[in-house]
Amino acid sequence: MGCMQADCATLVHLKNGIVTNIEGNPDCPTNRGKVCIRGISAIMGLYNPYRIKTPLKRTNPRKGLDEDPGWVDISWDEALNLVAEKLRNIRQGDPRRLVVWEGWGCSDSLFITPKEVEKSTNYTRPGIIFADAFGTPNQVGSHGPLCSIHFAANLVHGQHPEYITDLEHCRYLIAPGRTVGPNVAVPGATDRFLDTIEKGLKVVTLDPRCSAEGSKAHRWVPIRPGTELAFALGMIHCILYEIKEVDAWFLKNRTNGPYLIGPDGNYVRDTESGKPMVWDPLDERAKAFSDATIRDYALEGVFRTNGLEARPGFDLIKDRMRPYTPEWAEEITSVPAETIRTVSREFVDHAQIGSTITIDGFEFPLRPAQFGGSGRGTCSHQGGMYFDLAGKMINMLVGAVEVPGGITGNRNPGPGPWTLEPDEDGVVKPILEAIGTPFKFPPDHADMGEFYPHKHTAPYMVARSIVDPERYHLSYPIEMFLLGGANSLRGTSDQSLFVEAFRKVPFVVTITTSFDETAQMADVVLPDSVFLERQMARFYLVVHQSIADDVRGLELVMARRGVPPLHNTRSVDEILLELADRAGFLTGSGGLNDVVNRTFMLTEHRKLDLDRRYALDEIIDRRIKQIFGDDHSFEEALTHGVIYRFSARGKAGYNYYYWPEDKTRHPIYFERIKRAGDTLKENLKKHNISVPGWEGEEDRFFSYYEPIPHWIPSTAYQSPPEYDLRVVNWKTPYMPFGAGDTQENAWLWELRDSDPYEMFIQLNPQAASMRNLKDGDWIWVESPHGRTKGRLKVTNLIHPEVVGIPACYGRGTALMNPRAKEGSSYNDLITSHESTGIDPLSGSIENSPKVKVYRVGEKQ
Amino acid sequence: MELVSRSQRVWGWKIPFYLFLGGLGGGCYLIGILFDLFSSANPLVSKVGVLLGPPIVLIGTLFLLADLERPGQVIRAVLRPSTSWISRGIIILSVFIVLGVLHILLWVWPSDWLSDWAILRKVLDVINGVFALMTIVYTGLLLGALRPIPFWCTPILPLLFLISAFSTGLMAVGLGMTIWTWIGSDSGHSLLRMLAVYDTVLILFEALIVYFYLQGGHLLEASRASIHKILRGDLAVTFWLGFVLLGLALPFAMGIIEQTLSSPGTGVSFVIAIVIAVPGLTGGYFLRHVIVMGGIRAPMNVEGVMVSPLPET
Amino acid sequence: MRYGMVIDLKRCIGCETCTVACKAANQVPLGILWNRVFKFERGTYPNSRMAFFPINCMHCEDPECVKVCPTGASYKREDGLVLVDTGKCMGCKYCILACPYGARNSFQKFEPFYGAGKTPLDELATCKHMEGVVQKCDFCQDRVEKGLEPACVASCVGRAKHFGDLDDPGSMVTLLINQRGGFQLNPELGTKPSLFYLPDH
Repeated sequence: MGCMQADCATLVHLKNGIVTNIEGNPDCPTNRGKVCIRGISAIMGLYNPYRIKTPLKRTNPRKGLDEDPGWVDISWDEALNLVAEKLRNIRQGDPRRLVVWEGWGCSDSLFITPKEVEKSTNYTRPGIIFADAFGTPNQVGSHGPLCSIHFAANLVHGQHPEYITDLEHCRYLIAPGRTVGPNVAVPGATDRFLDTIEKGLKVVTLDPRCSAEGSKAHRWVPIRPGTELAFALGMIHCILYEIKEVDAWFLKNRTNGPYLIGPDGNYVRDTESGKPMVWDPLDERAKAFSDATIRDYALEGVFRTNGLEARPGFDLIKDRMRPYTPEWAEEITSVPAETIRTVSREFVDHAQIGSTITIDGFEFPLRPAQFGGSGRGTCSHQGGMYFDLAGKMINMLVGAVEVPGGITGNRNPGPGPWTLEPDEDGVVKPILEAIGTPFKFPPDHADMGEFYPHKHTAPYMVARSIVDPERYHLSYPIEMFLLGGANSLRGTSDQSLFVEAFRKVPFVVTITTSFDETAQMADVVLPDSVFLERQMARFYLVVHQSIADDVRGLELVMARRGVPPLHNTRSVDEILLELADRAGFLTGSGGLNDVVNRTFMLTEHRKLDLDRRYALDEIIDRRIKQIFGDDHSFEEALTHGVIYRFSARGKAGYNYYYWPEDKTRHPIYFERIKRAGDTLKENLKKHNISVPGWEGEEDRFFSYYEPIPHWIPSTAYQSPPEYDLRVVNWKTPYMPFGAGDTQENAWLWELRDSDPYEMFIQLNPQAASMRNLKDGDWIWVESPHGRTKGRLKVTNLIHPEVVGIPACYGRGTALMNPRAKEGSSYNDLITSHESTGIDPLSGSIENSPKVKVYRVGEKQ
Repeated sequence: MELVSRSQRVWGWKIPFYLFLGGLGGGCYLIGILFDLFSSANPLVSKVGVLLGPPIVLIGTLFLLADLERPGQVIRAVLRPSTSWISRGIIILSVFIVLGVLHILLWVWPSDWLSDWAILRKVLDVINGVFALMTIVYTGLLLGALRPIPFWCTPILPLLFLISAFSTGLMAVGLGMTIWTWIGSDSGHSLLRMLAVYDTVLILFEALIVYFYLQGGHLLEASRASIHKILRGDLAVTFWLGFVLLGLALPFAMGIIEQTLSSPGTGVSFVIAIVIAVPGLTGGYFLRHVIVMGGIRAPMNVEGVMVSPLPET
Repeated sequence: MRYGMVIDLKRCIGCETCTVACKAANQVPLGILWNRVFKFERGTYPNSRMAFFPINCMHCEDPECVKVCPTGASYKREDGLVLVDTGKCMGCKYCILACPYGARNSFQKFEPFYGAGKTPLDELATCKHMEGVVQKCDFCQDRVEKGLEPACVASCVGRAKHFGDLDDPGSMVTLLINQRGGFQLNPELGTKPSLFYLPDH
């Protein structure tokens, strides 16, 4: 399927060449034979008459969202030559001048999604095959600034992209600001979730609004948006100081809690071996953590060693949590202290500390409770990363990490070097975002990765650095944008900033299906085939949201023959192959073929010959053979729809199995974050610069780089008092992303027209009556950064201090389906401005800024 | 849970117009035959009544057919009189129109043959009178059978239609007589006054029935919404001006005025007949208009929560 | 043999996949929904939650629509399905108003899905459906004849819908109704729906 997750194998029904129906493929274990509402509606996307039907070239040099580009139809040959020419020129000079943007619209592509390169680099960095072959480090996700949920998993689990709920064993799930599946109707995951509810799973939904999932929950805990960190800290305090039950064995043996920390905040290291030290209270001395003579570990206390006063990391954590009483948390979050206590108590009780389960004769700790995978709703705030980490800490306190029932990473488990393998300090090796971008000055990356090494994506930084290159130390000009399924002019904040940036870039090429905002600003538009028309293979690389035994250890590829393209379009990977060829970097060392060999880890006869061009089908075929064996093929996948096997079943399906007992440790004292902050500080000093945008605010910037999450009042909420509400946004079944052009889809519009919530701005009855507003009124929602309007729905499903705007509608261009312009545009309310908008560690944008509401027509 | 107070969008203006013409025609005919059976007055009233009735109903039926999406299948529509009011209605209408046209041809124009066969005529009066009554009343029963629309689901509705049919019938017959006497030479102004008296009294009853009708609807949520729509909502102007003022108040007032005049000339009676009939008939249409357009679906009871259904196309 | 359906309200998440699956499988024209999911709230803040209620034709045992149909176009089949013989329908629309569940629809004039022009699906819909006559859920009789489940049942992401023979004491639908206390919608109307709901709590 063409969405972000590769969960759903489908059967597409045709009648006389017309696609009439789409159903789930019952042979595929991941989606359990279902496909969601958006998947079926894709038929209407295929037949959308507003699609781009042929390559286009701009004739009006003036670029603007409301400016007619003066499109002329051109042939593929002309279009590809035009683009390839530019690529060749840029590559021959400084290849950094090209920025490659990727988006969910091309998530089934092999050559432009960032997921592919990761594994082949042992998860040290993401990468886009096409961009790697071209040689530009500027590989930017147009999505993501509201989705920084990866760093904590990368750091604590050594897993990517996130950590998920083990539905097989979990019976108590605290779900903060996200869904395990029901809220956007993820096939497979929703079914598993509902099955587990029937088996007795209790869910506590921590969310400013009561969602579909919250409606199945044991308890909905409404919370003031942006304060989830305070809730988590309150829970930690409650567990440590009031309930006083923790999994001491786990903390001592599988975390760096016992590691001694010196006054400088770093590990105290053994002078000989350089290893971090712990205090053995039975032998009353400090030892290196890997010392075989250790009889016990101290978690609390002050000890002298190496001439220093040192305390175990856990002790420092406990101390830091002292002020965060449930009463303190209530003040900030609006959640009653009693509720925090109740939830904490239930959580600890359900965790069943000390219990075990035997799977395939191997004994695992069993912890059927978890503070679940934090979602974008909670992580997209200043301190959002601290929240994510605090959530992990809560799980670690009861030992519910990477064991049955607890949170687990979602890469396929295995003995590989990227799954809980410890580093030289005995702590899980970080991957990807937790490794981060190495510092360089002037920066190589237009998205300022050098200044935000642990960010997820920062597309807005590209815009900023292009518009103000001096301030952002961008030492080379950006000459070209190449976008694939990406629409950074819609999917992020600060649209006018992006417009400015797009205007400055001399040549913009977009591979897209609809006349979206980015196409509006492009020089050349290369029309992508919609995913129904693309003959692609989708490699199931991760499980999303949740896992159960029926998909544990699954290795799968799904494929489907493409419907013959309706118009003069080509699929994105075909286009990219062609461009690489014409621009001269398909063949030869370091070219696309070479990068493909490395990325797909092709060996022996499956390796691509560097000097030949291969058809896309052939490349896919070789990859399938590499994973599943030479007796399998792309043709087989196309015929059956799926090829799969279970590479790790039973006990081998759990990461714990490979690094059991005390063989690895998860960080609970986040020493690496401190290290990263110190390194960055040093580097800034060395070059005598500040982080652009944070001049004079270094202290506040680095307060987010401390090893223990703590509460920092957010500057995003220090708006003038007239802004007295906070706005939240959520994904809906009709629109989890903009991908798939759901905002133009006729069937989805029929449903939106009769949906009582989807197109409405939502307010609690108390909030509405206070402002003399009633159901059906037209209102403006205004933040300090922008405003949007819509119709009001008064509902009990939302916190009284919150304005809710579902999905993101209300943008759209002149050539799109006019209906795409209907609705409210939440993105107009947020900003990526450094000081008030983003979390310095993750780069994520504050997603609940303060707003005010008033009736349309009223003066404000 | 707020009720979506959107009324049914399935039946448009053609249906209330048919209801109006059906009631009117039936009323005219009934008045005609009642005068023939029980009054020894000038046969003018009867003949006008009988002459107006069937053609008006026939025209009404054309509007009914025009509302059908596939009128070609209407022949099948007589197949289910055991359960369907529409089947019954079509049979009733057909019989009434056929017998009525026969009645006209043999008694009003071109022939006068039935004048001499009183018993036969009176039998025809009774039989087709019954069909005329059914023509008027069955529509109220048809609407009343629709339990999903509480506003219509009441026995008062057929009664209201009957009273309204008589009232509009009287007005139409009065108007008809006025035109007839201009064309012909009969002087029937005293008859006009008599008709006007009956009508004035009937209007009072009609107003009373309408009052009870709207009062009684307070019991159910959907009918409450209908009533609100009619009295204060987007049908209010049509109701208060179109029906209450034009259909009730004005004719009533004119009727009273006519009675207070000591001995009006024929010309005055004629004018008054027109001034009563034109707004009165218009009001008769508007009554049915607001009833049909004001029909709102009852919500469904979903585990204790009232959920309003989506409007249909 | 009496076909019936069971909807588990505990599992329904209101995603409306069933509605779109029905549209696709039956080429339902613009503006008409044979299957709908009602969304509403229970309780007051903070003890409130969303509730979902899918409704399609109830295929009643004692259907109002069949009673009121003058031409006999609406009829109830022996196996329980309530169907419309569109050739006989004259478009009086009485049945649309008579159905207490609002399950029936018709459309006067065919409108294309997209303003910019007709799609192949519009052509298909025109072939399959007639303007002016009434249409409604028919339990996907074409699929059922081939031994498949209705599209809404097969597509339900939460597996909340079940279809089967209400006369068979061992069928899934009968078992669920008995074990979980399946209830009908507005039973006091006497229509005896063949669609049962399993309670939310």
